[in-house]
Amino acid sequence: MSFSAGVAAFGVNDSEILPMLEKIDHALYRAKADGRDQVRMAAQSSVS
Amino acid sequence: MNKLGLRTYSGLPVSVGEDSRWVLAFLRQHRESPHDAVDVAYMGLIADWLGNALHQSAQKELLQRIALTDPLTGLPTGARPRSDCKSERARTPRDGHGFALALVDLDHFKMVNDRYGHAVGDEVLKAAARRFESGMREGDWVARWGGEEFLFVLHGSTVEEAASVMERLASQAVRRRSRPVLAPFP
Repeated sequence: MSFSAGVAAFGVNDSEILPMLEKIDHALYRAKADGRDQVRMAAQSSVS
Repeated sequence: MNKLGLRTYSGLPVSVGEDSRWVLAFLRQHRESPHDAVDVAYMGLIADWLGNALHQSAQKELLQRIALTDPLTGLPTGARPRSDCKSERARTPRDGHGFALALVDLDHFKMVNDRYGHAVGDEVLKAAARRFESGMREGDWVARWGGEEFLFVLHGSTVEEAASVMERLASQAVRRRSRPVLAPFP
């Protein structure tokens, strides 16, 4: 069985966990929308 | 009430734990004498039974809500991965490195459940959980985020590294997929 994944990194300068969870959720949504069975990286935050 | 021919009413308090806001009503069509002692005793039993049943189901719900381990997969779940994420975040400055989060969703899981039933769906979840756990490095962890979603925390990983870990897990998933066996027809 295949899976789709959204991935994001939490840097030393990041402070809030909630926006991270939203990012991976969004990345996962894109992986699903683009046909599933793939890994999508969340956009990196511009301030890190 | 009159239309239905209901003429007498008895109300019994129902205690659900500490809460006794509830009343169980018994309505009767007869007009004669109020309920006799045996009736009252039965009504009391029914009210107690109902109160206990409601209390138990409320407690079960509460327990499930605060349950920290998923009984199916044995992975942390519910409030635990959420609070663990916060602790990871708090540790980040001390550790001097960040971490990566990955949210995984099994493809076509709903279809598997619909077509083969929930027992098969549960087996798929268990197998996925075992595979994910065995693919983790020491110190990293995976949780059942909900439904067919799993959350991974990978320490000291950049987003690219985390993505390649996930790609590797995904390729194992494909390689282990069972293929039909071709055998000569007798």
